[in-house]
Amino acid sequence: MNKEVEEEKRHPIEDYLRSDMLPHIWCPGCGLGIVLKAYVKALEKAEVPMDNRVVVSGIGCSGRAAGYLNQDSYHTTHGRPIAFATGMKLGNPDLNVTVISGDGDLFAIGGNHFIHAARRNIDMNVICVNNFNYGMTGGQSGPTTPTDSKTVTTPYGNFEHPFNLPHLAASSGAVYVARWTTLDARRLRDSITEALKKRGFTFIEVVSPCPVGYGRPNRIGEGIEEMRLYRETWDLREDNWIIKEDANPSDAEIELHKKILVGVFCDIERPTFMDMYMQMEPIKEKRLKHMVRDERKVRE
Amino acid sequence: MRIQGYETSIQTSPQVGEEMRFWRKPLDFDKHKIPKGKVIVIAERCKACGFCYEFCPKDMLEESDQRNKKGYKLPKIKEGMEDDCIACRHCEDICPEFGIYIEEIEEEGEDEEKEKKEKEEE
Ligand SMILES: Cc1ncc(C[n+]2csc(CCOP(=O)(O)OP(=O)(O)O)c2C)c(N)n1
Ligand code: SF4
Ligand code: SF4
Ligand code: SF4
Ligand SMILES: [Mg+2]
Repeated sequence: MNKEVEEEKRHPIEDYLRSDMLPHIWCPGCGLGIVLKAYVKALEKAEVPMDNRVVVSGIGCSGRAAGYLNQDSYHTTHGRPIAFATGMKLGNPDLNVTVISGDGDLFAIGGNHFIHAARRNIDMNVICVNNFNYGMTGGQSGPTTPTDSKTVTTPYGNFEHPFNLPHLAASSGAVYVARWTTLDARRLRDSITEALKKRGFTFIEVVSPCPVGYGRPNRIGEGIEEMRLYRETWDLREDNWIIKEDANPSDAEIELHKKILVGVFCDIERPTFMDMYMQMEPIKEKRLKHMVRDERKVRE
Repeated sequence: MRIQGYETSIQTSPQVGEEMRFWRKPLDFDKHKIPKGKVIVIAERCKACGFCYEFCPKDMLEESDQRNKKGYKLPKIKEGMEDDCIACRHCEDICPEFGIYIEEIEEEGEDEEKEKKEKEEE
């Protein structure tokens, strides 16, 4: 193929990517690129202005997401993206802050940040790319690895109970909770759009293939086979997508080789951290004083 | 919910008769043409994961023998299916490499046809 033709080709989201970094380092058949694209398309759909877009990632393959986006992005320390994002949001409440990170980053080392940000209902969006293992460090088991799954640290099968992430998020206080697979690219995009527009702590889990750390050791195979597995769950998903209120997060346990329940599990209203803070009497008085002072300044 | 409300208002409105409800739908339906798309592959990004050809709802893509510089086999359109793309963009959305996208094709004469039909309706 000649070069001129190549240069003419521009992906519809090219402007939002750091094109010089592509092709990215993720393995063939890894689902991370799909999540990144859904996020960018959702930003467009939700009409978030460029100056207000912030994405924060931790460490891991998923943590690389921030690095490929041509916008304000932060690649933070392992397990701490939510802590960074919290500070950023409180410092500048106009920002639309999104955390994209892995299951290990958000729920093993970063588990406490997650539950407390949800409890406080800090206005941010968390997207967890769940590939059921620590992909970057060579495929160890983690807090979402389904029971009986094989990883390099569980050669006889994982004997632990995994987290049910939607259930954890909803019971910790998230106002919007959903789960999709990477095959549901369009629904994922629409769901992220809803989350971006929503005030409060939103959580979206994306089940994503990792052929290296999960697919091959568990005899699922390459990324494409893992995606085929997601397709088999399509008959289940219809009722759970359309009737939002009826999908119960406690039914969302994931078991090895079994169908994965997807949909929107929770979409409620609750005052945010900032709302509650601003309602405190001393803060109200202080703000009033500030306003009077500002007005005086303007008059002078 | 919104759709439910709409239906109720039609049913309870005395002006709108039974026939009208059945008559309007097909007319509207005609106006919506199925869009057509042109498939474009950014060769050097493809890693031959196979998602695009496995999950295209029209089943119009397949693996080709052509390889990119890194040796990955590129997708291609199946023979005789060049005009089959409905621009659903599923391949674009599920390609993890930003390596395939769709350009929607404006069909010639489509607008004129539309105008004509609208005039006839009047
Ligand atoms: C403080 C600290 N502890 C451990 C590590 C090693 N480490 C790097 S990535 C990672 C796990 C990543 O897993 P996950 O968040 O699921 O990301 P994935 O690679 O699966 O996308 C670990 C334990 C580290 N970088 N820093
Ligand atoms: S190790 Fe797994 S998560 Fe990491 S890039 Fe490869 S497939 Fe993706
Ligand atoms: S846009 Fe849809 S129909 Fe066209 S090639 Fe892609 S998946 Fe197939
Ligand atoms: S989905 Fe993308 S990377 Fe995979 S085979 Fe198709 S063009 Fe190549
Ligand atoms: Mg992981």
